[in-house]
Amino acid sequence: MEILITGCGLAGLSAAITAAENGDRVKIISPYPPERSQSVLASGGTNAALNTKGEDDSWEQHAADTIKAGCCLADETAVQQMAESAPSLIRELAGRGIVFSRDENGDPDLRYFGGQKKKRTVFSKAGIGKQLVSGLSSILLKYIAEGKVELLTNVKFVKPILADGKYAGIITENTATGELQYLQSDVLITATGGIGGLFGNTTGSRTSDGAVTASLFRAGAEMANLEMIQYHPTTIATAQKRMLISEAARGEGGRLFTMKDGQRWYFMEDWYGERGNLMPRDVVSQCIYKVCNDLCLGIDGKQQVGLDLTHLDEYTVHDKLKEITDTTKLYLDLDPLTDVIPVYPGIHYFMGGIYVDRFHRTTIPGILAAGECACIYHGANRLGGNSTLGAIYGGRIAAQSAAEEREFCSLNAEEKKSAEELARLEIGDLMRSSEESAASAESEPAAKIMADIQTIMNGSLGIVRNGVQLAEGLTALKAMKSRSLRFDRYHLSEDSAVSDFIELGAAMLESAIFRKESRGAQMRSDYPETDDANFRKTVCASYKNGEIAIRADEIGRLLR
Amino acid sequence: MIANVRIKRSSGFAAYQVECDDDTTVAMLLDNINMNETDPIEWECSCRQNMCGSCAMVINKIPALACASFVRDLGTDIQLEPLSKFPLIKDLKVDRSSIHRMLERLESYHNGDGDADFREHERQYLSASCLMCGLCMEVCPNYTGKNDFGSALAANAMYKTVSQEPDSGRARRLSKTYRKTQFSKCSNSLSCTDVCPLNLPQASTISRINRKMLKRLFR
Repeated sequence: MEILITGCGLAGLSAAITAAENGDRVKIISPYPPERSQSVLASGGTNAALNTKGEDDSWEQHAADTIKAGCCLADETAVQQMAESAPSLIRELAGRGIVFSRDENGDPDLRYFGGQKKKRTVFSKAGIGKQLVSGLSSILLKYIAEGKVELLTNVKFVKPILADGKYAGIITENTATGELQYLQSDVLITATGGIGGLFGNTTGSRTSDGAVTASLFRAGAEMANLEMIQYHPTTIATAQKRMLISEAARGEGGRLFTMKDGQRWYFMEDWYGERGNLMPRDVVSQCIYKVCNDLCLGIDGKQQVGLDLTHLDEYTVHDKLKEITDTTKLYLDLDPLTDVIPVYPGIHYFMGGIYVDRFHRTTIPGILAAGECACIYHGANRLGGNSTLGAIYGGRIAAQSAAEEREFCSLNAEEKKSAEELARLEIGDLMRSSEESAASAESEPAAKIMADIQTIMNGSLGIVRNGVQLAEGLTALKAMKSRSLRFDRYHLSEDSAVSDFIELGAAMLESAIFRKESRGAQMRSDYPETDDANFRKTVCASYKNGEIAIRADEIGRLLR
Repeated sequence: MIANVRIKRSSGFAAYQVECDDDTTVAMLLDNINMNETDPIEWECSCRQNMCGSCAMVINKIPALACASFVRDLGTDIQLEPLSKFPLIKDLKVDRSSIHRMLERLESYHNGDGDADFREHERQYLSASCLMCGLCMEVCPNYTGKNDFGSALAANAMYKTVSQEPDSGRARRLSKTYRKTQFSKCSNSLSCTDVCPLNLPQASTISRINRKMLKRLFR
């Protein structure tokens, strides 16, 4: 069978390799090759209960920690299957050329990470993502050379074509020539990352914008737990963007503090004991928020606390945490071995996204989703070390589900014909919109409108939210629909994404409004308690006939 | 202060004046220009923190990444040109897909199913860190794109492939390919070490792979 994959970060690479090994024909489309993907920024490590440190670890504990940190919103069966597969997955990758840091016995070494009491995080200094992408690309290249996989770079997903609600292909844009094309396959796997485009200044990559998610939402794919946005506790403000300081810094012994009465106050240790610095990310971020805002104790009166690594030895800071040192030296002119790093939480990861079940099936028959774009393993808060695992494992499961998925979206001759006709009309519409808007004088470029959308989203969906702010954000966002967009013939996909982003952003705000409780990353000052009876549920957003609808769904529901 | 930015666009050189300070990067200058430009400048941008290699271009005549080039080092007169050794798409954007095709022809991919060679671990890590940005190819006096000589990028990649290859027959074959396509074509100008955004030890990797590969040939 033929599988089309959009996106070539870890999830896309993993899906492509699995599919090629299953004997499927694979086509990957992406504007960029794998080395430009956001996956290369993953820093700290990948969780797997290898149990090589004499701590009596097990995959069951890994699963339990994941569910607990996610505040019981993740599909327990899916999480257990992932945790159980993790040790063999890591050993397999270590044998296929991925360079993990090793311990004295030659096993992949393990470090402490947030929300887990055992050493369970496999790492490659502080550059796990790059090593994984590099290694998986190298495996993929073999299948490309053997003709099993075709990697089409400079090709961008624009929108899906559906026939009777089933997947029937996609429209793509060639980012070099601007050419629009209709591509077909038996199934589609989307592996296009989080929804950073709605926020702009995240720790992620600009290309990982979420446009494909937004487009699928408009086409009818349901979204899950969109309000669950992870603020990573330790990011640095640079002139260019907020950059991640990996949790590995605290895993290796880094301590958070602020100044109180002229003395250092290690607030996390004070509030949560010795291992306070390694509480789950939602907890640490909310504590830093409290220190800087409620207690007004940010260092130098600013929104920042200190991350201290200066008591660690040089090997740890400069070698085991190499990539952190590289970043702070280049962008802050600061060496963590001698200077404290000023940090504050920043948007880092989207636990929510395309609604999938444990087979990675979306609500549209024929379309599967994996990696950060899909909502499945992380519930209300993701554990550090589970994103790279979720991407590689999820990509694999999606590829394995493809054969069965094909049965749900087979098209008869008439449906095929109508899909082709629809694709032709859609391409015509896109071309026309660029010609019409060129004539209008007041029209604005997409970048400008997106910047205003990002201001609204950042203002409404902070670490702490409330109903009034969210409702105001929603009104402001809806008003963006009246802005006149200038279509540019060579950026039709980016331009057509703007209206999709407005709808997805509105769905995100409505999801946050709907969840009238505090849980994990959703901290509502007007609803500070957790409400299991009403909200230990998947908050599901759907789009139909121009209207967004939000409902609560049972966790772990199968979609076919 | 104001930066005077001259950009070689597909339509010819264009000049822009952009507000900046010492910490402003070329990437930020381009963002600023594009926010107000009716015909935005085409350039590749992804991570904006020196980790993905997207924004490779020629900055004041030296190949560099836009996101890691600061006004404090460049001064306020800044000239931007696309990489010259790859086909131009538009403005500052080029098509580097030839890099993957070259590695494919060199068979520089992981084939085996054995554990990585331990003694080489540190260097394998560094070679897998390569951003594949193409700056070393741009600056290399011997890289033309007309044959399979691939500058430090290819040496790096082939080193990792061979050092991880458990099948000695394949390793020997790759060593021969390396000798024919890379070793004999490098004139050791080592300009690649000067422009590498990660300061990868290209010179020592090249000498390491030379020693390793030559040894293999006679084994």
